[in-house]
This record gives sequence, structure tokens and C-alpha cells, in this order.
Amino acid sequence: MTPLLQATALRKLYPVKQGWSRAQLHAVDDVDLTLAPGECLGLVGESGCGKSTLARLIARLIAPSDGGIRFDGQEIAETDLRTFARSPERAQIQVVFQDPHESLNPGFTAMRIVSDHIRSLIPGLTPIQVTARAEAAFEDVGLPLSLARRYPHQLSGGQKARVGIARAIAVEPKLLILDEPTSALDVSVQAVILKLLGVLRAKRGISYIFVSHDLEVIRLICDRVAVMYLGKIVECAPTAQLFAHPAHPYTRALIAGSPDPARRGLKTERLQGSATSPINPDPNRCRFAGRCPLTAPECTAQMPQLRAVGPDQSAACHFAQSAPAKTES
Amino acid sequence: MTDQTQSPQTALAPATPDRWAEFAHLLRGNKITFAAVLLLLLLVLLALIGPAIAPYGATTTDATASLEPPSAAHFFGTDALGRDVFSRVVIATRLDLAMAFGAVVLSFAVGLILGPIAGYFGGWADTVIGRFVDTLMAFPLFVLAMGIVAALGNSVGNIVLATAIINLPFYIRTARAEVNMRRDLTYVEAARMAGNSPWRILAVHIVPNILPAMVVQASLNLGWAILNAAGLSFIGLGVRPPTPEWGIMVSEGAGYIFSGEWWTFTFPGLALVLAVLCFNLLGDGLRDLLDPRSRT
Ligand SMILES: Nc1ncnc2c1ncn2[C@@H]1O[C@H](COP(=O)(O)OP(=O)(O)OP(=O)(O)O)[C@@H](O)[C@H]1O
Ligand SMILES: [Mg+2]
Repeated sequence: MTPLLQATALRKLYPVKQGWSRAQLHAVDDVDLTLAPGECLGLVGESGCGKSTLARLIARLIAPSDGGIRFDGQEIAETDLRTFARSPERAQIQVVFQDPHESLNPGFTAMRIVSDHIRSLIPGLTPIQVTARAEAAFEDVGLPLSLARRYPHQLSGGQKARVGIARAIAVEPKLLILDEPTSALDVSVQAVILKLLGVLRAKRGISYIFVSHDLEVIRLICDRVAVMYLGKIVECAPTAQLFAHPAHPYTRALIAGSPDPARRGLKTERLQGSATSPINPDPNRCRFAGRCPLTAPECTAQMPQLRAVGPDQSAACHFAQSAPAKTES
Repeated sequence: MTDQTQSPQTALAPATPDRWAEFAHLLRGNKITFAAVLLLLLLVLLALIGPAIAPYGATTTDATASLEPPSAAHFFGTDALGRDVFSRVVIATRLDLAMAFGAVVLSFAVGLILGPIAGYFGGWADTVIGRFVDTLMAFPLFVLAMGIVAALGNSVGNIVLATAIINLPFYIRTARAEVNMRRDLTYVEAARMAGNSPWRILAVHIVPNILPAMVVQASLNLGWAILNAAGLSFIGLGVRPPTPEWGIMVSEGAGYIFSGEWWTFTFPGLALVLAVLCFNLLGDGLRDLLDPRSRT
């Protein structure tokens, strides 16, 4: 199957000042990613590892410093952002933003938020068609039409989240990028929204890229997971495989660190210290070295590349295969 | 943003809120603002019908009745030329309010264009506009207004212009900060994602949301504008006698401070104080009303 999305060697560097000299912050560094049609790919990693930056690069909200993005057979990373925003492909890739409070215009009603988005992205619709589409979207996200006349401050957090989702799906995208869409919500509301997202995906056949730092959420709704560490993808595998046989020591630490009652009492690898700086990192040194329980001389001499370690699993670690044996001893 | 009003009650509220009913309800809970609103209504009424209800003409002199103290015939007494101070104070309301409103509308409009441009685009636009503001602020503002009127000539139009110019920095700064705060919010990003041009984003998605803050700024600024316009007239750089204007009246009456004819300057001065107080209280009240954090 041809992938819906294929990112190659994506890179985003931010210039920063370090004392007197200028340096580069490697927010996303040399990332390859593929996404099959209809697939839900989870993106996990600790805060500051570049999940949002990667999501925004793929969503074409920011321009990459380097690398390509192929979407639906077309190279889209080369068109500049303004041109892309007015191209027909723009409606195909949509974003559900993190905080429903600030992602909705406080001066617009829910109806206007959604219909303004439709009008801007799908030119040539009559007002009646726009309204019909918006109403269909509200129905799909389970928001009663009576609430569509309200302003955001008159809606609950969960209702606002639904409006944000309705806005994104109203233009019938093929790819939905969700950057921690539920992290600002109460736990009970979170579950409802996650369920809704699952239903929507089945109904509309949209592909998801789902950003979260919550492994349990990822496990619940994703088919495949990419684990990020300091701007790089360190492991990518189908969800079940990743949780059952994590190949990268960072993935193991992440899983061990998440509160999962089923794993209580198992031997865990706790992470020591904090991540090294993403500013001007040593290109020949594994980003995880120093914090990694397996650190060996080759880890500081050569950057491990992402390589296949199983039929559908890849990891960027020199010891990716020998690691499980080591933990058992 | 922060939103404590999110409660079961609001969820049950009618879909289309009656903003006026809410406003009236809030006013009732705030007596000082309520008083300021009444005072504003009185001032506006006087500005509209002042000349019709004044018992005497603004420039009608009466040599037989000069410098008379307040009496039943002349509520606020008469000045050196025998003109009725009450009538002059009432009739002057229109000019004083008009100059202040004119200046505020002018700086509001220009500030609402330059501020958002600086705040949204940043870069050299922000630098140029920021330098312009800094340059204005480098002068003592009243002296700057004096300079402008002295250079352009003292007409009502130039007083309004000078007052507008010296208040412009505050509008630009407020608008700039409010836009800057919203520029990177994700709702603006969503609008950008939908292919809206920067100008449409500013005009449709950002500027309408900064209007409350700007209106508060304008209301607080009205008092300043009145004082400034009257101040220019007071030092002889504004409206010319015999036009009734509170600043000139205070200035003309000031000569009688030591001889004891206090009514000549006290009543126009009091009118100024009341107007300034009214607008400041109104601004404070509006700020409280429009700030959701101050609501329970
Ligand atoms: N506009 C920017 N300018 C400079 N540095 C930036 C910018 N945006 C992000 N960064 C840096 O890039 C790195 C990755 O940020 P990003 O927001 O992608 O992290 P994240 O994984 O989404 O974290 P979180 O879980 O906290 O949302 C961080 O070190 C951040 O400081
Ligand atoms: Mg993030």
C-alpha cells in the first residue's frame, strides 16, 4: 500500500543565542516517518522532545529547515506556507489543537468558528451548503445544534474540544493531526473525547497522527507508535509489539515509568538525571547516552541510526537486539 | 483563557444571552459606576440641549450686574462683564465634550491601526512604530501639545489634533500588547491554517477581541483629553474668548482669586473636575465589567 504520508529527513532547527555565540536548537532532527491510509500513529516522548514541532511541520504550520514531506503522492514541503495555505491540499491535512480554550475565537459562536473555516478552505460553496456541512460536523462530534449558537465561554471544556474537532473534520481531511487534544480536559471528559475520536476515525476513514505524552492514551487508540527523544525518533513499532517488546532502552524506561497496574512489581529501569541539551548536540553521540543504563563506549563515538530490529519494528540503539537478554540477567 | 464562569448555571443559560440585561445587573451591583453613568447621561444631555436651557446667552453682557455673587437670578453669579456664569458653564459642556471626544476618537482610530500592525507583524513595522511612540513619549506631553497648537495656530481643530497626538502612544501601546498576546494563540493559528490573509486575521479574528480593552483605555483617556483641551485654553493656547469654555472661564476667573469673587473660577473648575471624575470612574467600572476574572 502506498503511504498517505512520507516524511524524509525532516529537520527543524531554531537559532538561539548561547552567551555571545549563536547556536542551533535541534527541535526535530533528521526524522523519517511513514503513515498508511487510515492508520493512527502515536507520537510519544517527554516534554520538549519535539513532538509538537514535528506535528506542526507535518501539518505545514511551520516550515522545515530541511527534508521532504510527501502527502498523497505529492511533495508538499517545497511550497511555501502561504501558498500551501491557499492550495486544495490544505483542507486535506487538519489540526486539532491542544488547548480548546485558546484554540477557539472567543468572539465567534461555535457555528461561526466552524463555518468560517469551511468557507476559507472550500471556496465556492453556497451559504446553505456551508451551514449544512457545519451541521453535519456538529452531528458527527455529538454536539447538539442548540449549542452551536453559543460562544466558547458558554461551553464546557468537553464541548469546546468537540467544536475544535468539528472544525477540523468539517472540511473532510484525509489526515488529522492531534496535538495532545485531551490533555487540557478532565479525566472523565478525556475518555469520552478519545472514544469519539475512535468512532470518527472508523466512520470517516481519516488517518491520525496523535501526539501525547500519556502512554495509556496512546495505547488505547493508536495502531503504531513512534517514540521521540531529543528531536529524534528512537523507536517505531506497532502498539502491541512496542508495549510487549520495547527494543530501545528509552522506550523501556518510558513504559516502566507510566503508572500501569498490570506491570506493578516488575523490574523497572528508572531514568537517571535529565535529558542533555537539544542545543548544538554532538552529532556522533547517541542523544540518550549518559542517561541510558546500557551506555557503552560506542554510544559516545557513533550515533545509532534507526534500523529494523524486527519484522515491523525499528529502533535507534546499538544494543537494540541484545538489550532484552541483558535485562533478564 | 481562564474562565471561572464555567459552571452548570452557564451551561443552562439561554443560547442567546441578553447582554443588556447582564450589563444592567452588573451595574446594579456597582454603585460608583452607576453614579458615573448617571453623571455621563447628565453631561451628554447638557451638551445636547445646553444652549436651549441656559437662562442667559453665553456672551450676553450686562454692565449693571458684573461680578455678582450667586443668587436666584444668577445661580453661579456673574463674571466681570456681567455674563451669567451658570449659562456659560452649561453651554460650554458641548464644546469641551466635543473636543475631548474628537481627540479620543482620533487617537483611538489611529491607535487601532498602528498598534495591531506593530503587534502582529513585529519586525521593522514594530520597530518603526515603536520608535515613533518613543519619540512622542520623550517630550513632556503637555508641552508637546502646546508646541503643536502654537505651530499650527489655535483653532478647535488643532486643539483636538494636539490632544489626539499626545494621547496616541497609549492607544498604540495598548493595542500592540493586546494583539501581541493573541498573535500566537492557536485560534489565530487555525485561522492562518485556513489560508486567511494576515489582514483578514487582524480585522476579523484579532482586533474585534481587543476592542473591550481599547474602550476601557478610551474611557479612562477621556478625562485626560478634557483636561488637556481645557488646559490649552487656560494658558491661552486654545479656544479664544469670548467662546464659553471651561478652561478659559477658569483662566479668566483666576484673576479674582485674591479679590474674593470665587464663583467666577470655582464653577467652571467644578464642571471640569466632575467630567474628569465621571470618565475615570466609568473607565474603572468598564474595566471591571469587561474583565471576566473580576466576576464571581
Ligand atoms: N519557536 C521556537 N523557537 C525556539 N525554540 C523552540 C520553538 N518552538 C519549540 N522550540 C524548542 O524546541 C524543542 C521542542 O519543542 P516542542 O514544543 O516540539 O516539544 P514537545 O515535545 O511538544 O513538548 P511538550 O510535551 O512540552 O509539548 C524545545 O526544546 C523547545 O524549547
Ligand atoms: Mg507539545
